[in-house]
Amino acid sequence: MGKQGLGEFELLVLLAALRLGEDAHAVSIVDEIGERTGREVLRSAVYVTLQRLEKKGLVTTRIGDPTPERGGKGRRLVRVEAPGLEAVRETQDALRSMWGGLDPLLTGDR
Amino acid sequence: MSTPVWARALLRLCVPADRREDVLGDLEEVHARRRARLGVGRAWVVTSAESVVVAGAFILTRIRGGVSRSLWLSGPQVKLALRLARKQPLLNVAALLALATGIALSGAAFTLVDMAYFSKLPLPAGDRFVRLVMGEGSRAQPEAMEWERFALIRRESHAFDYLGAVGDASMNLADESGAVQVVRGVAVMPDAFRVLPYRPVVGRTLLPEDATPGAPPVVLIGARLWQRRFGSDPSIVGRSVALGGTLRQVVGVMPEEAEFPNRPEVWMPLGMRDFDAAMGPGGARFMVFGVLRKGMSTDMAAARVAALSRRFEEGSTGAPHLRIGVRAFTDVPQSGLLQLLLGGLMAAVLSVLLVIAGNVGSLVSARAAARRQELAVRTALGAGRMRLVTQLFGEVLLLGIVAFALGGWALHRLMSYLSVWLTGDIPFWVDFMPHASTWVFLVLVTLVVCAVAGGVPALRATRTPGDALRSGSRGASAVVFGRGASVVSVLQIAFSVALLGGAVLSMRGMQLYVGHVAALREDRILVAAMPFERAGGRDSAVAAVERIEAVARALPGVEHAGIATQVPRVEAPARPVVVEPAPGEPEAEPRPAPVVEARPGFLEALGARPVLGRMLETEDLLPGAQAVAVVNEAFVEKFLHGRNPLGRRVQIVSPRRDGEEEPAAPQWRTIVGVVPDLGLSVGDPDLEAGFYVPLTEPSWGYLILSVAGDPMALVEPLRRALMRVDPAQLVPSVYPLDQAASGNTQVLAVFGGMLGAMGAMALLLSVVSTYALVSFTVSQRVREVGIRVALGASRASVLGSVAGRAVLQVVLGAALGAPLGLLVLQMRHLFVLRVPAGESWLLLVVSLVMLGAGALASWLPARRALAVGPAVALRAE
Repeated sequence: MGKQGLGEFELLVLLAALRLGEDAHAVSIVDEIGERTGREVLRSAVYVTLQRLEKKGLVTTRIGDPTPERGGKGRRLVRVEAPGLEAVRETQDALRSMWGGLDPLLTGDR
Repeated sequence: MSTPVWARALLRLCVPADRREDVLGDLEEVHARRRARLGVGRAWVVTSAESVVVAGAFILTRIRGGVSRSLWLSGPQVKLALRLARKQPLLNVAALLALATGIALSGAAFTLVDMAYFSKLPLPAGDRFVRLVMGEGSRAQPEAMEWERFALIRRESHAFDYLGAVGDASMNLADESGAVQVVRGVAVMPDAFRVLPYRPVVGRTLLPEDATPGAPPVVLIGARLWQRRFGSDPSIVGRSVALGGTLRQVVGVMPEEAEFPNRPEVWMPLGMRDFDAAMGPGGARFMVFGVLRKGMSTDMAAARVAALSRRFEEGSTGAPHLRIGVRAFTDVPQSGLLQLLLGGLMAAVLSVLLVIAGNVGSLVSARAAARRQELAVRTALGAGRMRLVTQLFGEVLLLGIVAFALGGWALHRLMSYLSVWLTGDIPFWVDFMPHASTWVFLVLVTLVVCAVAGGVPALRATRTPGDALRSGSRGASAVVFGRGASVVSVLQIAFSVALLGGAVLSMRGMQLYVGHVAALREDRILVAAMPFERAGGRDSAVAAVERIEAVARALPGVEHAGIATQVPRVEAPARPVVVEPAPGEPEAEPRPAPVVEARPGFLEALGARPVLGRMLETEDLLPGAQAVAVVNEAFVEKFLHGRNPLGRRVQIVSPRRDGEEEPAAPQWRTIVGVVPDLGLSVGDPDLEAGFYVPLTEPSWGYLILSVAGDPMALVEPLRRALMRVDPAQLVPSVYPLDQAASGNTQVLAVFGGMLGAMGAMALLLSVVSTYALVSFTVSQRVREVGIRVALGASRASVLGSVAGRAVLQVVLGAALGAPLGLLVLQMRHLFVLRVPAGESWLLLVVSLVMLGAGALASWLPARRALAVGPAVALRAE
């Protein structure tokens, strides 16, 4: 698998899914990103991103058990696959190397 | 379940099936949480809005996926498309050319309409530039108003950020050697430079004191004139140049982009005195223009201007009543005819485009039908219908993209050519090059045409793939070329005949224009178009005209000289004319005839000799002289049936077309002479019969000189001699008579060329689609035809069965095309130039050509059917 360039929102969705583990699905991902970043996230954006990540082979999804509070419908549970993990790591490395030496500038300590 | 019903319905509709259940589940879950937090009502609103966004996101993803799939056909799909294109090169090239022509033509039409209605002034706040229009409709009053009225409006309307005036002031400019040239000039109120963004290259602009009475005459010159005439001399400022007989000091050089209002080359100050001079007889016209205040509409400004104008009229005795309108500066008065022409052009182009779409659709249908089995197999292997449709549409889109590139290139070339050809005749703000809006329009047009031509046949071809597997391709031609296709085909053939007929008649018109007029010595005649002295009224104009004729006659090599309102080869205005009936004759209805006002010497300069009677003479111009007319031979034939015209009387029965007043009682004019046809109306044989009357009130006209040698050798001596007598006398253009109609000829050539291109394209398409229809029928019925031939069917019956329908379509189309062409001919007064009447037989020829081409296109593939042997037939399928 070659290098996967991740967009910022794709990275956020992947990280949220990793954090949530077994409980990762669209609604919980929206909540997770909202809580951690303070950003208002549209569920539609998460749907579209998950579709894209699935197409790229970074995540897989399956339908969970139906529940009454969901009108008898199951959740689409998200699982980050190995290429997804690899893509997150590559992005982290890239960001880290870009970050190197910029801390004083960004924190204002000169 | 508490989620909004319509939100659930929307999501069911828009979300793909494999995602639908969990998205609906999420909706329930989130809505329940929301209701607990926000209450029922607010939760309902937020969930509804969110559902729209979710649905929109899924729709967009689908569209993006679909478009990219069709735009980015996979490698094998592209290869397949190219292989098919190679297999049917004629059909594909025809479809490509047709699409490209349609795209170029619709782009040109859109650009012209865009230009006519949505041009913007390329100046800061250009959209707020307005002009004040005096009078309404066609009977507009001269664009002039008194200084006091103007000053009142300027001071008290509070509708404008600026209000000023600018007028035409073209002048003769002589250099050291005495060579004279007319430069386009304007007189402008100096403070106008406040709103015009032009800064001088050298020196300064005009100042208010330049326009005060007694100020030394100054001038600003344009960069092009500065380069051409003064070699970009930086010390030009302070030098004096002779303009129209007045020495004016150059105070600055304006940059090339200073084109407001009419691409002037010199600018002079316009002041209070010029306003009042303009109110006099023959006064120079100028235009009051302004910049609207922000938020002010033209209607609001017009109301304020009208109120102030009324106040001025009430307060001053003898002030004429002026109706003043406020229009956008670029809002050139548009006649109903122009609107009709533009509308007609757009309608013609769009119908051509539709015909093209229909045709390309037929070709794609034929291709798709031939592939029905392949499509059916793919469906059986699991390809969705959408996928097949997308592929077929994608193949047409591929064709569309190439056609777009080709058509776009052609449009660019066409508009560049037009802009070069027409520069100088069109307002400076008009840009011929297609704008972004044109390209957006063309992208949409291409997509729509591809959707009609590719999508519809693709949907039809993939409707019942199972049938195709069972039945092979039998009956496919009926599916592909249904009744609708036949109707389109017939209409298109009729359309082609009408268009080609129009083109052929235009060409015939042009042939008449450039044809020889026996009595004219065109290579020996020089024409100078000129205005005559504008201030000073009729007497001074007559004196000026007499002076000009005297100067011209005195030039070496000049045989005759005379002035008239019209020259041969250029359409003279036709007016309703009636001949006084002889005793015992019934009264005749007025009929149109061209009338030219001419002075003695004009007819002689054209080389005419009287066939009967005499020419126009100086005595005919004297006050109180008998009103006379000299008619041409065609007039004698048409109005007098060849009887002796001398002494008979003729009358022009209605006022002039341009709104000038005819004497209260229509005047009877006695016919005193007959001349040969001198090209009064070369473009329209209906209007050959006309006459000449004495020109008594000259304002603008043509000086005609007949010379012994090369007429062009006389241009410079003529300009110099006229300049010596009257430095202000302008001679804007001088040319030999054989070039007089070159403008008309070019218009006719472009008009005929466009019609011809559309007609030829439509003809080519008709032939190709006929060929495709017969060819397709033959290929689908190899087995049947082979068996019939084996059983001894006659050639005629086999030919009839495979080509009969196509031939019938061609015959019907050609038959319908001739009357359609006649209908177009009935509207010929709408055209820029008249197309000749009495040439309708040409339409029949075009119909026959179409029949021949259609028959050939049917026969070629049908011939193949006859060559089918029983063995081939049995192997088929």
